[in-house]
Amino acid sequence: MYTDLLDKGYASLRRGDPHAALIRFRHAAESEPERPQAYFGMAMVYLEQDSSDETVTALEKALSVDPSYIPARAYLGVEYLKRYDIARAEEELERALKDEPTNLLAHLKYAEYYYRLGFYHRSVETLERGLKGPHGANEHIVAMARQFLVQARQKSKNIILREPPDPRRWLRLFARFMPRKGDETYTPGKVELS
Amino acid sequence: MLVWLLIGCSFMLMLVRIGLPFGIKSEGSVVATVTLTYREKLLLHRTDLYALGALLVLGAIGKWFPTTVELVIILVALALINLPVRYQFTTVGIACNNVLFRKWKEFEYARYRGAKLTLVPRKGFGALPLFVLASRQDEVFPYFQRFLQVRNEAPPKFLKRSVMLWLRRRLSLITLMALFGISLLFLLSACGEGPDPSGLNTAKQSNLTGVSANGTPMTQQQLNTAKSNEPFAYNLALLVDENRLGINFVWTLVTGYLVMFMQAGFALVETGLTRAKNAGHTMAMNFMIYGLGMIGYYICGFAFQFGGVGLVGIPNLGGLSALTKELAIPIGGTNWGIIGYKGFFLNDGSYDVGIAVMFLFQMVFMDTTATIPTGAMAERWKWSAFCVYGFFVSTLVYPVFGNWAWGGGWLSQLGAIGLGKGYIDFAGSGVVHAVGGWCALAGAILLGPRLGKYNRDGSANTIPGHNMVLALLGCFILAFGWFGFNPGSTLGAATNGNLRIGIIAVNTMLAGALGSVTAMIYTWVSGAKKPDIGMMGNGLLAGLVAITAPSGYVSPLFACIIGAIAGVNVVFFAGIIEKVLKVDDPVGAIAVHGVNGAWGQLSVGLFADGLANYGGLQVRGIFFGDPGQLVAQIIGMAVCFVYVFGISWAFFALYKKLFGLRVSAETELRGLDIPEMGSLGYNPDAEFYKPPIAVASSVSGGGE
Repeated sequence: MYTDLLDKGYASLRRGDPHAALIRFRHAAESEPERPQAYFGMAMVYLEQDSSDETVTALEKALSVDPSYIPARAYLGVEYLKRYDIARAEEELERALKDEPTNLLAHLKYAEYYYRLGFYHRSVETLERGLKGPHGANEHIVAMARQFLVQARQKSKNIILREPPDPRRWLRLFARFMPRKGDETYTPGKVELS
Repeated sequence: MLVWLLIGCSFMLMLVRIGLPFGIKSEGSVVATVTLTYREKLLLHRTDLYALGALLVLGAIGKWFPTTVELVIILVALALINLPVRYQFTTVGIACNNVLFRKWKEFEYARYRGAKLTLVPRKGFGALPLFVLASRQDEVFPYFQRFLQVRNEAPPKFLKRSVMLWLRRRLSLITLMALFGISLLFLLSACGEGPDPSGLNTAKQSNLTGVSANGTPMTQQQLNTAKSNEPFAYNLALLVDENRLGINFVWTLVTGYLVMFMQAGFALVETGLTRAKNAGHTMAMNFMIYGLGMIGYYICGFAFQFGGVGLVGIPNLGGLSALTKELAIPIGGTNWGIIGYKGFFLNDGSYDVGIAVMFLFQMVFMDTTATIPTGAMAERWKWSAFCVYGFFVSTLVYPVFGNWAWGGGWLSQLGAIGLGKGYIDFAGSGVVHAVGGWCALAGAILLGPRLGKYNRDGSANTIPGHNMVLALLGCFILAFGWFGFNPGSTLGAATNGNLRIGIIAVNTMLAGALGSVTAMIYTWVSGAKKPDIGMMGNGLLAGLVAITAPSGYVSPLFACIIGAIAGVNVVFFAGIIEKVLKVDDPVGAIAVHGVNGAWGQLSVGLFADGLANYGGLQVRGIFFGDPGQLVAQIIGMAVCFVYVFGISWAFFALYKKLFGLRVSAETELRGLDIPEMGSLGYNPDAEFYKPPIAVASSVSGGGE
């Protein structure tokens, strides 16, 4: 019942009937309020309708019933970014990736975050990492990630991004003179007790 | 006498409006206290201010007082305006500080008419106008309503007439124009003053004793003898002096023009090293700092910096003997100069050919300083904050330290206590570049990094510049301009050891070249194992910045060493600033100008060889036998950092608290061009970064 309503809701959304989709998602939410998928579906409807406040509310509701629901967290991160709340956006996306390091959707949304900020190379890195791992995502998300990767690569144009060398690397020159961890021959003052 | 009486009366009136020695006590218990805002206090004192203003204008036209007295009057008036004024509402009546108390029963009702609030009296009493702005009336009315009825009365009919409305709408514009006109009148009133506005009297006998062509200047006695015995030779000598001054003027002006062109170089470097979406904003900052800074420097910056330089004398430009006002503290027989105070508007007795040349040359130097923070603070700085900064740096930051080093101030006098020849900064590694760099550091810290620059784990994301062609072209233009910057700092090309300009130019080019080469090698052998274009440019600039102070005192070999170290410095410290201090500096201005400016200051105390001789000034560093010089340089370096960083921090922190320094996150992500400037630097790539449509709006299968 619950899954049927969700499927029908997404089908309505794809057909371009968000009102019908919303009704189905609401029914699904009423039938099983402790499951997050219906709230997420409602968020997708609101997203389609450009209703930012409702989208965030629905995503937060989904997370309140199931904090481990990664898609809601990933989408919420990007919604915060659209509101220019960079810190919260990064926090949500990072947490999504931390909770499920192989989730492709989380990688995709993190890549979108970097893309929107103009860090195309980071976007490419994130997508490549997501696609390389055992993500187990459905083919639609994989296709979307690949399409996004192509566009991000076009933007970053394989430039080697230059940054000043880390001056702390000079400290490594002295590493050879430091006692190695766990190597007892280098431990000064150690007394063997018989 | 009458004028002083009038001014005194105005001040007394201002005082008695806000405080009395034996004040009137209020009755009843206090219900509320309303403190007047600055604008309200201005309204309260407006009649006295009009009177003072009129007296000042008349005084300026009639030359009744010197500029300093006028400044003191203005400062006293400002101080009085800033004293707090409070209305106290008590259960019995209303009080204003301790100067007024009126009972509620004296009034019939409170009337507000537009922005005016008046307590309308009963018969036999007087009305009481209150200075509360319309925007605050909602806050104040509840207190009245406890005791009096508040009525909104329509303005009288004549105010509704179109002419009156037209006037009311344009009142602020008319006032501004009137003020502008009066200022213009004040400026014009002093025209014609000055030691030598025609340039006919600058060549004179006293110059001839101040300069030397071969190290031995002529004495006054020799000249007097020549004047009586050989009038032709004497007149010829004066002619030669005029030619000498002509050569020096032309040299200083032309090199000044080269330095002015450096603004274009800075604009290209900074724009190239930032993102395309902010190109218009970055370019506009570099463009407008020229005008904004120049106005500030013209009004008072030059006077603060060089108001007393005539006491030291600049023989290359005819002595500048009109600039003789320096606020100084005499200790141990030496006058330790703090700040100059002559040359305001180039008008108060400083309408002079030599002073004009000096102003032009120093103005473009100040502009170089002012434009440095625009790079470090690029891509997130609010335009209005930048405009205010333009005045701040040109009137206070640069001129004050400039006075200490170049205007005859206390740092230049350190030689009097045995520290070499005092703090020496030939062309401004410290005065120009370190000042700009430390100001940029304070600004960049308070402004914070660009959005997304640092991740939550503290690691930095690289934000590449959008056009390295522009950046390197800018570096080349800067290197070209530096041939004005350093050799021009002799302020002349004839006599007094100024033939050294060739060596100075060679030192300049060598240090720049070595800087770029060492920076290239450093980046080539580290990190991505490829030479870094941006760092090559910054290496060139670092070498040029570092050689600026010692260029007049070191040999070409030491110029190479100084430049080579500067090239390493810039890469190393750019890493420290970005990765350790976590300060976001988009163009590397702090490492280039701040760090290498300090290195340049220090290197005078190390490598100066004592072979240059500018009218007797011979400087030796520690490697050539004078450790005192190094101590003077270290003091100069430390003072430069403490003063500039401190005052800049205070300014930026205050501005941030009061008005905000930074644009909104939305503006920053969209790019500053449209929100801040209303037009784009470029059309392509300047829109908000939008992801592909597939990601932005797709919902299919998003859930599972």
